[in-house]
Amino acid sequence: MGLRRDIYAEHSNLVPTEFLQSLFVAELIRPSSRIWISSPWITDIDLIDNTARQFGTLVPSWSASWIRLSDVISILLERRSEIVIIANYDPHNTEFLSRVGLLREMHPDRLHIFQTTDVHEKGILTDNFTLDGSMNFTYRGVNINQEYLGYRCDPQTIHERRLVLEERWGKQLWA
Amino acid sequence: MHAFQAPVTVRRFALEANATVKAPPPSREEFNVVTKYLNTDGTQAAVGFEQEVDAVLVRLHLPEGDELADRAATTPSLPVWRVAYFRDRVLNDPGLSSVCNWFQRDWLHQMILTALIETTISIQGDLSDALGVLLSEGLSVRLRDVAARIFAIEVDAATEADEELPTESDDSIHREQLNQRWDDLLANQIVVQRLAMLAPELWDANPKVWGEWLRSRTHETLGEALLNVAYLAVPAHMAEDSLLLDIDRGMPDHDYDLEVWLTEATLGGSGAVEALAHEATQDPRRLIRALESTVAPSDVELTAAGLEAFVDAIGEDAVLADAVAEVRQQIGHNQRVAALDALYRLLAERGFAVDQGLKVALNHRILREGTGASSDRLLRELINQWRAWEYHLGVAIDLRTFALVASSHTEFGPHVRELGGINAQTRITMAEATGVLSGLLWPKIGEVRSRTFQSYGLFHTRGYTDPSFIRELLLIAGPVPVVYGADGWRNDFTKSLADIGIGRIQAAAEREAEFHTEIYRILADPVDVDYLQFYPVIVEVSRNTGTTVTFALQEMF
Repeated sequence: MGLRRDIYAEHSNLVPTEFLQSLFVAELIRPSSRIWISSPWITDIDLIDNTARQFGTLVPSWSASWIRLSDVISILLERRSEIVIIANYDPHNTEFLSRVGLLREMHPDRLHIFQTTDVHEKGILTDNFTLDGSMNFTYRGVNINQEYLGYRCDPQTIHERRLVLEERWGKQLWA
Repeated sequence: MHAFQAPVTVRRFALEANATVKAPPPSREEFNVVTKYLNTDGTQAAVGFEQEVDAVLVRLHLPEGDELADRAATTPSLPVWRVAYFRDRVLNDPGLSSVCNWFQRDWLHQMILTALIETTISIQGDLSDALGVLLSEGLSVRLRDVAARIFAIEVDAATEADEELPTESDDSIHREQLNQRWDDLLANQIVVQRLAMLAPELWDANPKVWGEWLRSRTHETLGEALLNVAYLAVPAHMAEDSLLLDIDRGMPDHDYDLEVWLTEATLGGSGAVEALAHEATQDPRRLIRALESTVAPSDVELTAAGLEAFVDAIGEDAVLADAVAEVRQQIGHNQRVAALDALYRLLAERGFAVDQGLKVALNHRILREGTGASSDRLLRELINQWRAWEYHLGVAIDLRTFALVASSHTEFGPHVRELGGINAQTRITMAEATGVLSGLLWPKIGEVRSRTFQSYGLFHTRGYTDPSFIRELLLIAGPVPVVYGADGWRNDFTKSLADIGIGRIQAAAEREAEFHTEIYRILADPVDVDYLQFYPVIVEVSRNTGTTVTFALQEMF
């Protein structure tokens, strides 16, 4: 039974796009209590292919198009997830962060955006999996660069990862 | 296509025009006008045009009518289709067509359906018994009574539609004229005899006609769905009338399979067909997925289902019921928002898709001011009774008919008046009671589904369509969903992926949490395909009574 997977991606429009789609679709089925997204550089990437309304029953309000990361975050917030986004101060991030910043006005207690010059790790942590590696969640990172991703869904690894992040960001989170 | 030097020549023409003209108030007299086109020598002529356009032709190979009828016998949508079939039988009946127009036939269908349903409930028999009672009491008289109750509601709406504000005498003249028209129509023996002969089609349809109807409706539904697919696939190239739908080529011979034509409306075209062709060659699966998504439950259907499930849930789940009570107790805006957030969280945990549509519907229908535990109880009783009547009769009951029948019901009528807050000593009209019920309840999924495809075509008269024809009669082949938790489910799922590249898992609502955890493991588990290993990805999710997730090995396509 699979509990881990190592992904090596390069110039692929399937991997890791469809893998990320699968992870976030699964999260939408039963949203996690808290989702961490750490990406020094981050873009509002196309995440879920809803062009044929394949996920229309999951989120009926979505149009028949590619669904972006910010739209997915919006729905997760509506469904009571807490989202933590960690990025650096690069101007590249401004567009995405300002877009999700608008969501913070609607969900001030559940959307946290932390920016720091020191962040370098990339990954996603939810109640159900942890995804870590070299990939920034940007167009280049997802579609072009040579990247490595390590996927784990065993409870022990998830818990350890959560402890590390909470120790690092707990003060800001619960301030 | 023009791009291939092979456009299609489309010729559209009319041989005659039929119109029913209504004089303005106070006369409101109706008269039919038929315009025929003739040559100077008196021979038949036509008015129309011919143009060369790009087009898409889809050839269909549908099962024959008897096979579709066999499949329909066990589908959940059968009660809905029975009513739709009966309506079409009345609308298209040659005998009735000779004495009344389309709109009148539609009303006649409504009247006899209501009379049959009401009588069946009253005598606690079946529809056949009800017809016997109606005929013995005088079908004309009973239909007249139903008409009076239906039109007590409709006359007001019709009066409002007039451009000039009606005076009181206008209104009474209008009612009198309407009554007289219906009296004349229902006194016509052709009308009464034809309705009596057609009525049994509701519960005992002619097998050949029924099968042909299923086939023709499935054909047209597929046509509408394919038009929708075009809008989904190439939205940048599609305006409202970019493509026209025809479900045959209008020629009398039958040497070809069933066809669906999508033709560009304008000379030279908008590039829609070219764009569609490009999409089809780039990724053929996208069009097939788009077709499946087009016929999947719409957001309106999901909201209707969600409302009904919510009413059931608050009767069985004390935690939810408390959360609802908490919302109703709040006076301030911020407090209400916080209570609603808590309620939505509970609903999401229980598998409800809490989107904007459901939230609006809940707030408008169930959580609005003045509602409480007693109104929730009444709603539950009404919905349960509605279900029970439909189950007993074997036909779907639309909202208006249910409201009409229930408001005059000995048990529900008083509850409705109580809910309306009207003094029990004061008599309210049947129209008002029906209106209260219609506002309290909402159309069921079957009624909502019939409005899914609303394409407007200048040259195509839209018939009854229902996405469920495709879902329940055609999409029964392909990967059968593996039931999560059944014996050997994992092996069956893996085998399906390995054999055809697609695997579906269906999880009941009560096992969704468990299944959800499994999904993450499935994504990490490679599938052996010959000497290679591929990882499945999620390509589709559908929700009905449970959750169905479709996985695919994309490398196999």
